[in-house]
Amino acid sequence: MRFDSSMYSVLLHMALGGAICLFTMYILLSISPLGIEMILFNLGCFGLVAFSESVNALSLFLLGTTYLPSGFLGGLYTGYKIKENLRIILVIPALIGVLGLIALRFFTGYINLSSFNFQNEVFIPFLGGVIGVFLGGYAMNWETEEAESSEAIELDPSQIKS
Amino acid sequence: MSFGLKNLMRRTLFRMRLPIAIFIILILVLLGASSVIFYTIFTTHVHGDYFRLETTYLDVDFPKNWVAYPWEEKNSTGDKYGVMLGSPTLRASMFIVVYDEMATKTYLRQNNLTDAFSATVFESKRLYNWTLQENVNATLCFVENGTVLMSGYVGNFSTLIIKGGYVDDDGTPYNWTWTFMSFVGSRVFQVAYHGVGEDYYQSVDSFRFVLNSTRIK
Repeated sequence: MRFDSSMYSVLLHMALGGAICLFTMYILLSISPLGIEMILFNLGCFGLVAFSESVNALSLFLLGTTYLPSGFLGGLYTGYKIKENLRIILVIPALIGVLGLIALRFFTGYINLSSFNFQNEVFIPFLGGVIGVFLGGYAMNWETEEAESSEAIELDPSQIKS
Repeated sequence: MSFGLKNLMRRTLFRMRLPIAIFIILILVLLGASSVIFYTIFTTHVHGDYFRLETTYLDVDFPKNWVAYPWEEKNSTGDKYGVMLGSPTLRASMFIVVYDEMATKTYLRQNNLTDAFSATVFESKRLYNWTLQENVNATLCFVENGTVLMSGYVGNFSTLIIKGGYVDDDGTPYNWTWTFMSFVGSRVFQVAYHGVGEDYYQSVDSFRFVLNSTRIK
């Protein structure tokens, strides 16, 4: 019974981490493109977005300002609540966030299957989400791991004496 | 956990936990790379105060702060290539469309057109009929007709005002000024620019510059 409740708690926190990741992605995805447009307009070179090469620049901009921070926030929550098996567990919030975003954008009409761009719609969000979640999750557990390792070092001399 | 990984997980960078430092560095690197790409695009395409957009069928210079959207329409009845240009702050924009030979034949046959003048009149009427759906009281006034040089080709143009032709979100009607230009040869080349109220007159010099800089390939 206790195993079940802890398992339930882990699943709940993974889902919440994924939801945070998804929500942040969705919000930032509506703000970041406006931000870059505003920057370009104020710099007097809004026309740069007309050129096909700007797609790559915009993808990198979104990776840095939307997908990576969103994954990081989801990872911070998951890492704060869950302390074990992070290497496996942290993949789940990233997947929930990215797959949720793809589904949300598809059903709201932002993704058109006839002009589907795998790099921009799947690869970049997935890359940013996974890296962000892992960085956030491990950032939350960094000091804990340090404390555990220092305790382990203290035990070693006593074992040698005996 | 191995000693190597434990040792790694105690590391800091710039007095920050390593993942946080990596996160910040990654963001800075990505934003830097994005800026470098934008700067490269800028230096590649800038020509004085204008950007030069080069597409399959036409080259066009446009003001640096304008929106430009090139598009292609390919199907079994021929290919059409176009560019939409406009100022993001004014209700005015410009369309340049080039038909390939097959699309030219289809366009002329389907609409019973024979020359540039008939194409210009046809497009003007089509626009007027469309505006009537928004405002049944809109009236069409032809202001000027004549010939114009379009990328070395002599075409026909008509400037017209549709009184009350543009209705904004509040339901207020405005006069809508359009200029249509057509050249009909082995290919059709059409230019249209328009503006709502005074926005047309504020943009017309830029439209003429864009038209004079356009080169059909």
